[in-house]
Amino acid sequence: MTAHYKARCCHECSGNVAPVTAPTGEPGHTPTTAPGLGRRRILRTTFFATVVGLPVASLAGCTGADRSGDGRSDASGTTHSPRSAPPDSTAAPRAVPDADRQVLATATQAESRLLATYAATVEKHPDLQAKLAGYIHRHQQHLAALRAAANPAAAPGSPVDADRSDQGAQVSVAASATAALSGLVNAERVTATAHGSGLRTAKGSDNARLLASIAACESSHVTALGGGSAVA
Amino acid sequence: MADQSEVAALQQALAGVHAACWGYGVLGPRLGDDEARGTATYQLYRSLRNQLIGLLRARSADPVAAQSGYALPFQVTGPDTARRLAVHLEDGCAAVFADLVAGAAGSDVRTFGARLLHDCAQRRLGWGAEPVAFPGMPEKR
Repeated sequence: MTAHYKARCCHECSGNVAPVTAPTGEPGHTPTTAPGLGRRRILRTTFFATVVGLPVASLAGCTGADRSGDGRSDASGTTHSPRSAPPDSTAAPRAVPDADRQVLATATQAESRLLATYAATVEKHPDLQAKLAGYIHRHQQHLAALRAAANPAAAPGSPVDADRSDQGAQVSVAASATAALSGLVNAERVTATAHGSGLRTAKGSDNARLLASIAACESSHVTALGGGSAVA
Repeated sequence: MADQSEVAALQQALAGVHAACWGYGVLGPRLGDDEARGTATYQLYRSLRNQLIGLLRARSADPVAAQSGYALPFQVTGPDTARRLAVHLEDGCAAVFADLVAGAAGSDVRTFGARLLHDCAQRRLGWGAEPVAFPGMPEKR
């Protein structure tokens, strides 16, 4: 989707623009017939933040420190962790706020637990491997993103606080595949709820966004695994 | 003085919702058997548009207007392409709603943005697409 989207929504691109008819119920919204202009318009409206890649704060002209003390590393990657850096160490680096260290540690732990549940499920029901591979991959991406947010200065793959208690965690898996899938649905739901709590307490705006996105993914997993119906 | 970062995020969300209203107006009649779902989603976005306008006015901001028209990213010729456009709209709106989570000044708007993001991810499935790892964060895909 991303590649398609970038290809289509750049104002440099051309062609394949459908002449459209005015949608019903939207009088006054006359469709454009100027492809370039229309592309810039849609770029500016629905998707421009995504394409341009600017955070909202930048769009609003905000300057200075993150509104809420978010600890994301800047492009230089020089952010230090609170443990290794004195409070007033050199100018640019900002640390993950203490409050968010706990939020991210909790989220990482929840994600690790969920991955352990998937691993145990696949071990007991190898036939589910193909069905669950995509889910597992997405959770691995979540875990990596949470680790990066929790400890931006760490080398990729470095352990974080939350991981330790989950190593070797015992997960019981139901004997029937159907019941095992229900167990996964429940685990997804529990994790999504935990991330929902985390996003409300996170101080860093980027951390809140990350948690909201992961929670939304997990809710979609609940639906895709058969645990509920899509809205609308 | 309203928080300007939050106002900007609300404006951006409203701009996305304007485009979604327009897009669902275009694709709805081409959905075939799914037309009722398209109509319901269109109404949902119209309602959301009014809600966002209210939030902006409450912050003494002048709500951004809809464009007079939008270009489609591809031709909508029938139910399949109509559903694909719906997914495209949901993904685009998910991104502005994720930015609303980040730009929110208070927990009410942050929670509101998270709910909207959640709903986009759900509707994406409803239109036949697979889940994505980071709804609203296409840079992470």
